[in-house]
Amino acid sequence: MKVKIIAIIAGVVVFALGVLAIPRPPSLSAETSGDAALVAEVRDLLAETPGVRDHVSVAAIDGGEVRVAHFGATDDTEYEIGSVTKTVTASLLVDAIERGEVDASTTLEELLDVEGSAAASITLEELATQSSGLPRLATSPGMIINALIANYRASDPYGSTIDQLVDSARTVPVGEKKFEYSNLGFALLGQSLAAATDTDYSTLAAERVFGPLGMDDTFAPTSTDDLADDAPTGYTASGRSSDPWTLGADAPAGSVRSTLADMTTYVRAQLDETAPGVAATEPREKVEGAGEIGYAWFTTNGVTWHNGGTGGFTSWVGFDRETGRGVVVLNNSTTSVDDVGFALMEGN
Amino acid sequence: MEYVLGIVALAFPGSFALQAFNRGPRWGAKSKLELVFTGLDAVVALLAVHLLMPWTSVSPLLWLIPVAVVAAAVYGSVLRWRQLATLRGDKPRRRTLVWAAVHAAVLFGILFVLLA
Repeated sequence: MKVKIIAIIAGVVVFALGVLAIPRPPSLSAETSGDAALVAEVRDLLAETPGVRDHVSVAAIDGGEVRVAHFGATDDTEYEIGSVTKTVTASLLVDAIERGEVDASTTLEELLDVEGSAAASITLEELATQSSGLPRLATSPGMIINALIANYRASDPYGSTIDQLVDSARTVPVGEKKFEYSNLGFALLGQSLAAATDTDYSTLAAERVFGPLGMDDTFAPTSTDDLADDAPTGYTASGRSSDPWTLGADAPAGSVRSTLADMTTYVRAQLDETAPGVAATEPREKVEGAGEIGYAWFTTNGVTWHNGGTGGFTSWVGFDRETGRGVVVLNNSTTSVDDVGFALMEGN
Repeated sequence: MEYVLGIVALAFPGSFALQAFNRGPRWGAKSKLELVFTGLDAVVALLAVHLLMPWTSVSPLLWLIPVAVVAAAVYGSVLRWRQLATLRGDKPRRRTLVWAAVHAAVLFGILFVLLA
């Protein structure tokens, strides 16, 4: 009888602990600010894509008017913008061409130590238009294992040094020169531009894009040492807190951190064509199923856009010069915001 | 992903419960050590499911199903505890302990990947 009582107590205690540990994924913050109509519209749009939500910031630009909507955030809340970083790298390419530092036809072997490899003859333009033949990522057994572990640990799967990145470029197989989205390609593009200008990518982005536009809260980290102690982190698809992604040498493909205020400035500068390297937005090649691509920027049904995603954040930026409309969506979870971005672009 | 984690969530706690309640030679626990490790497997499996399951597309209330199975298995384990030998009598003691050490190392490895 005594054993049975102990067994019942043990079972009840385990069940009670399980009840206490019931998963509580974060939900969209109830703390809102900004334009009430936009807040309501964004809330409805977010509800159409189920998934983990927490903080979301949105800007809708219509000519000279900017409306914002925040959920648990402010204009100055920092977000990882992920692959929207590629548009910054593309701006740097155009800027470097305009300065006469490189040409669109400059090859990788002219800037990085990849002579004699299959990647040697890849041009900067091919990298910028995602048609270099490089795969999405450099893959080796070690990198695959690292990526799998990073996935389970919700940590940054990148973090190679520039030497390791260049070494990957020397050994990676190069395929047909047709559209294939490549983070490796953009990492090499950014590091090539840094080499051509004898600086590092973070400094180049700060001096030639963020600084001139007054984007004081935007930067391109390459390690967690570059982040503030209280740097915001996001959530994975299961609602687990994700480590920050700083990407190391792959930073030009996706490490930039920014705020709604700064990204609004960035998109407005693309809209009115005052952004450094704005020619990057011009469509140059057809992309099956996605319209056209310029340097990084996609153009689909008149909307020029790019999205981004890291281990804990997603983002979307887009604009249409004909309508004067632009949209920025920043989100601190991995749930996509693409549909929100496109829907808001169609809103007017 | 949800389906794989769903199978994990049921398989390991289910195996623990089976070992705790079944007294047959095939499915029942044959030693305290075996029962403890099956219990630890179930706990680590629950932890992995808790951390990796996309709980916005799967109802968090479903979490209580494997928890209830583990709770029932703990109840059954306490009842059986005194009837079990510490180690299996039909296997060499040294081999059993080596396998237990390997098993523990694997569980620690999984915990490290998930939590470190």
